[in-house]
Amino acid sequence: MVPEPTPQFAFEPSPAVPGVAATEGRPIEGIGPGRAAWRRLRRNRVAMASLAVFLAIVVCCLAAPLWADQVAHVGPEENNLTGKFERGGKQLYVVTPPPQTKPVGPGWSGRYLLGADKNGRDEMVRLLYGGRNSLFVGFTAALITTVIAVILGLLGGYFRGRTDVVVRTIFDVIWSFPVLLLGIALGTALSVGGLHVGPIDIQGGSLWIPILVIGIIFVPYLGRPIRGQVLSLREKDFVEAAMAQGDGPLRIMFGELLPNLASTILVFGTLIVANNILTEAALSFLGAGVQLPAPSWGNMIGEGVGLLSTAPHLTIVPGLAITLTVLALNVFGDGLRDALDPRARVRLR
Amino acid sequence: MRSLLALGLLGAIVGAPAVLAGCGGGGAGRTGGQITVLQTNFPDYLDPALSYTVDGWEPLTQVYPGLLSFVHASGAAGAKVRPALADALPRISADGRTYSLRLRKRINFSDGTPIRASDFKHSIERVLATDSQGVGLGYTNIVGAEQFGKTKTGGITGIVVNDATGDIAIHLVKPRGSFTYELAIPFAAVVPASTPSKNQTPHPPPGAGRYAIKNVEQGRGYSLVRNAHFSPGLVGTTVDVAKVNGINVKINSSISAQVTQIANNQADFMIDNPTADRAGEVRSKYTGKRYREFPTTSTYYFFMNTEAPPFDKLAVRQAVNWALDFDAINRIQAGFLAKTHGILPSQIPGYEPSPDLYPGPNLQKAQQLIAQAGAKGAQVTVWSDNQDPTPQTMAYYTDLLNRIGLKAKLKSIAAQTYFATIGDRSLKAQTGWSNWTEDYPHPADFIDVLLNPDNVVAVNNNNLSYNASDRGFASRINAVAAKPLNSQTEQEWAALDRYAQQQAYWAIYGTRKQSTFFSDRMNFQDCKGDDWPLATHDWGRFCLK
Repeated sequence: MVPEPTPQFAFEPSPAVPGVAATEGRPIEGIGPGRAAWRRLRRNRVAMASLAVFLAIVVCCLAAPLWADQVAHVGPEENNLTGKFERGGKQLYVVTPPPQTKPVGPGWSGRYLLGADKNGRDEMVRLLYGGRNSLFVGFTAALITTVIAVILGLLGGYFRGRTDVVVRTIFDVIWSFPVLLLGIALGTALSVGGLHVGPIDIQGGSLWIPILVIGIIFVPYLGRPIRGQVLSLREKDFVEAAMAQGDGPLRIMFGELLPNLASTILVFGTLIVANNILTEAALSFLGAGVQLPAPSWGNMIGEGVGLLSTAPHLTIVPGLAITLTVLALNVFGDGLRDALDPRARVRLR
Repeated sequence: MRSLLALGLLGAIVGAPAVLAGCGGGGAGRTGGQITVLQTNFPDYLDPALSYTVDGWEPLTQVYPGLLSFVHASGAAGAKVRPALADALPRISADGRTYSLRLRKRINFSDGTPIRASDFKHSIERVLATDSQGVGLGYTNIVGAEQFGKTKTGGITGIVVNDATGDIAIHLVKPRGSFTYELAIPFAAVVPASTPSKNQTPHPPPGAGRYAIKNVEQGRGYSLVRNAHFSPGLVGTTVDVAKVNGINVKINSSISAQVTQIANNQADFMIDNPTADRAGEVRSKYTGKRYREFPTTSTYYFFMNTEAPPFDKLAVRQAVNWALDFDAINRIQAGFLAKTHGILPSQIPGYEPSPDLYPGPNLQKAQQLIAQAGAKGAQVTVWSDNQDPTPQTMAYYTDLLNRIGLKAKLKSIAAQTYFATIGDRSLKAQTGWSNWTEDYPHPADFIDVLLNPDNVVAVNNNNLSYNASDRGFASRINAVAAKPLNSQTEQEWAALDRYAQQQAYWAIYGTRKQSTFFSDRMNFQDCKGDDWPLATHDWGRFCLK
């Protein structure tokens, strides 16, 4: 029997197909889904602008020590209550003495560019260092959420049965508490005594307390869609093929299923970071997140509330930073979703 | 008494521009009318056996006199104890352990029921039976009180009363020089013997004062109305003080909103200080016309635990004292601090205007002392609660400790659990914030309560210096605390104050100032009614223009 020849395809792609260039009269080179997604993402100007804004914020925050050393000449926790500084050729109090006791506002000077807070600390320096803390908490907590959610989602979706019941119960229990209340309860309890479980030894007041709290409370947010997707993927032919080849569960979960979850994880991950930054701000505002005197955008707002009418910059400045960061991440996350799953947009239409 | 909201309780004694006698509604200012008072929090209790806050004592002192009472007057005059329901000050036995009093004739509660000697006995028993915080204020020193506190049965054997004659004899376990004062505060107020030994806030029992509490709406407000059955036997006494006919108290959790209401004459008086962002505006617009500030009888300080390194070293404690900058802390606290350096506030008998042993801020000297003590780089946890302005004050303090060479970090916990946490001896809380506002104007209420090494216990410590090993200090305090207050014992208290400063048990940063802010309807010049030792503001002396 003569085997059928392998069909040779040479087609002209439609220019309307996103991510594929027109190549008249000659075969085109195939591109991977990653590159195609990147091309689609690049064409989304709003998403790219958001990414640029977010990266700019990250770079600024990373440069906090530079600003503190070279421009402001003070650290984020250095008080200067009785001092003066020069702005526009005038000597100004950092915090005016009684009867007013008002911190200096924003102005054109390297020192106290965004004004001072109630303790005479440089608001710009605290904003940058606070951003580092807020972003660090946001990203690290998202990483913890992702790792736990992926493991639980894979286990539940792959093994099904009792394992799935246990995983679902864990998700249900965590989500049965209002997120903020759970965060406040855990944050308040742990911020006093810290966390000491086996080899884990975290002192109260450590940044790792809000990271762990936020990292855990959002596990179902990512874990549920992953589990659902794994349940679906597990029925696909490529999984059955892998099983037929004799691959073990671990190899199938992490070698076959996980790569297919990448786009979900990426999209949700981005949104979780934004969510985490907001949650951290809320917890810190309420005193259950990043502990003073370490700055975070949330506790800066909390400290500024008492001087809302006389020093509004203390709440407006960190508030704007949070808004800008979260907005940038959310818009970018939407763009990323569209890029990774272009059919979703088609379906929506 | 501790204050978490930094409310100054029990105001200043000296320095008042005018001493208002206030008896019988006399003095300047008209009588009659209704006023509205704003409180931020509903009182902890509207029950004299249980209340232990300024929010509670300001109204309760108008309603519930005891056998003795503080004069309704500002400043030093208001610190004097006078007979109230008793016909004279107590006769104290030679050994200082028996106090004899007799009730006045023709006295009754606001419901018309005659007051009997057994009502007093029951009132003290209620303090113990309800496990009130007032228990610690000398009442367990009455013979049989300790046992009654445990069993809640059988009564206090050390209080012997005769309803027929009105005689009351109180037998103490050991002499206590401040006991007369302890008979004049709300915990010792007299309520009917029929009053149940449980919280009576929803339906406060009748008292013998010029006012009675009505219309209690938990969390929302209550009213003080004139006592229609005021005792004929109390007319013209220290109890007989009331100018306005009614005081309507409303709870408003926003202090800033309270300021606006007072400024717009929608309410007449607020008991709290304006918020930091409104203080400047109020000071500049209303000082001298509708607003003033006065120092309370309080001491605000950073405690240093002598059982926890590095504060076991005198040089380290002295270094902290040298480094402190009053002006800096005062700015954080919106100017509501008055400078002081002694344990005793200037209004308390025994206060001595001695020179400041640590006239800082002197960071260089502080750094030298830390280096000499070999404490450079020593780890220190600074304890704070989370209620403004404490976190900001403690952030300053933490930064200061780092500047003088220690390695400090701040630990902030909920205000509700703060004192219970740092008062646990086993925790070995190294340093943190604390304050004390007098329960009554006596030096024992500061030095004995807060620094007597004998008062170092396992939990709920008031003595946060944990100086249990200072036996000589304990002996000296115990000796003077047993004696009545006079010029001799005042000098002895002053010497103890100096010693505590030399030992640098605390780093003292000031006295809390309290404000009086009136509406335009009120007679500010003649009826301020503030600066009252017992409860800061004396509502009975308020009057309208």
